[in-house]
Amino acid sequence: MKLTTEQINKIDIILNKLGLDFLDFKLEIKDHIACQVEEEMKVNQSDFNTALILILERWENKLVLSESLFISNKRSFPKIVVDQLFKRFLIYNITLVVSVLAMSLVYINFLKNFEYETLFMNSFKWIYGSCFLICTVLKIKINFEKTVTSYSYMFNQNFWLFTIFFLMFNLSSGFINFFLFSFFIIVFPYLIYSFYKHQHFINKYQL
Amino acid sequence: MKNSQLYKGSLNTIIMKLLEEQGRMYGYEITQKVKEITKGELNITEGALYPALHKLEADGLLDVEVEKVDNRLRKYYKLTEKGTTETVSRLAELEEFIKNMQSIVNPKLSY
Repeated sequence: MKLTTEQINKIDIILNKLGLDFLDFKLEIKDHIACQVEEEMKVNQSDFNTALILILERWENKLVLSESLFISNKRSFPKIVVDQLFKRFLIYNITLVVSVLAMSLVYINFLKNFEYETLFMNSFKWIYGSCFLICTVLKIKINFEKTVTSYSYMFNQNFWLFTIFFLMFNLSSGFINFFLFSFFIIVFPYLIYSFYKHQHFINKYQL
Repeated sequence: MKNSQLYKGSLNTIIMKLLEEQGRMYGYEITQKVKEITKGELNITEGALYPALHKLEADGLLDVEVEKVDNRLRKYYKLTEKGTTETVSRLAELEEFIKNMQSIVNPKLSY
């Protein structure tokens, strides 16, 4: 017995309530749960609601809300999402820390009294400005689409940091700006990558 | 999945072998096929299956097709060219492993 659109929508609403709002995870899990419900209804002659409750019980330990500071300090996600996102965010955070440390060492050892520092930072200000403009356009596009994926979440989370650091860059100088530069060289490519993956998902699913 | 590191280590190869035979499959179908082949002995859990599929996809070994089936979107996985080559190599490696284990565990049968 195949589920109706209303029954599929009910599964969708429940998954949203359980915090599974990233479409790149939800669509596949929703299909899996729907298949299991159909099988349960067929084999045990259960009605939809009974079958759904039984299947969701089997998913309980994968959908239970979990937290990870690497991913967010504000909200929780289902365990199956945290398990998969953890590595992605861990690599990103480690790259960021390594970049900041490496650039700090470069600054302290080579650039502290370098006469071209101001010239370099002034040129970089224009590059940062242009990249900030590009990211703002991408942010508007993501908001306009209203589709939430783990990649759009990553983009939004980093976009606000990128904005704050851009403002700081224009108000500071010296080492602080070099610190912001080391942040920029990792975050900007990451923002572009997140946007690309988000768009790739939307195009693939024709959303 | 059955609680054994031996099975867990072979999950990717199991998925790739199935996709080599079937052409393309979706997540639930893979779990059911494994259950059917092993007569219920081996159950791949969703928590193990999807990370494995996503990793294989990210490594360029699997490609994805999305279709609307039974009022919902369904994600089908299939082997890429690189994935097909890799499957042959991983199966050969697995067979070699089984042969070696057989020699150690049951030397009489290995001859």
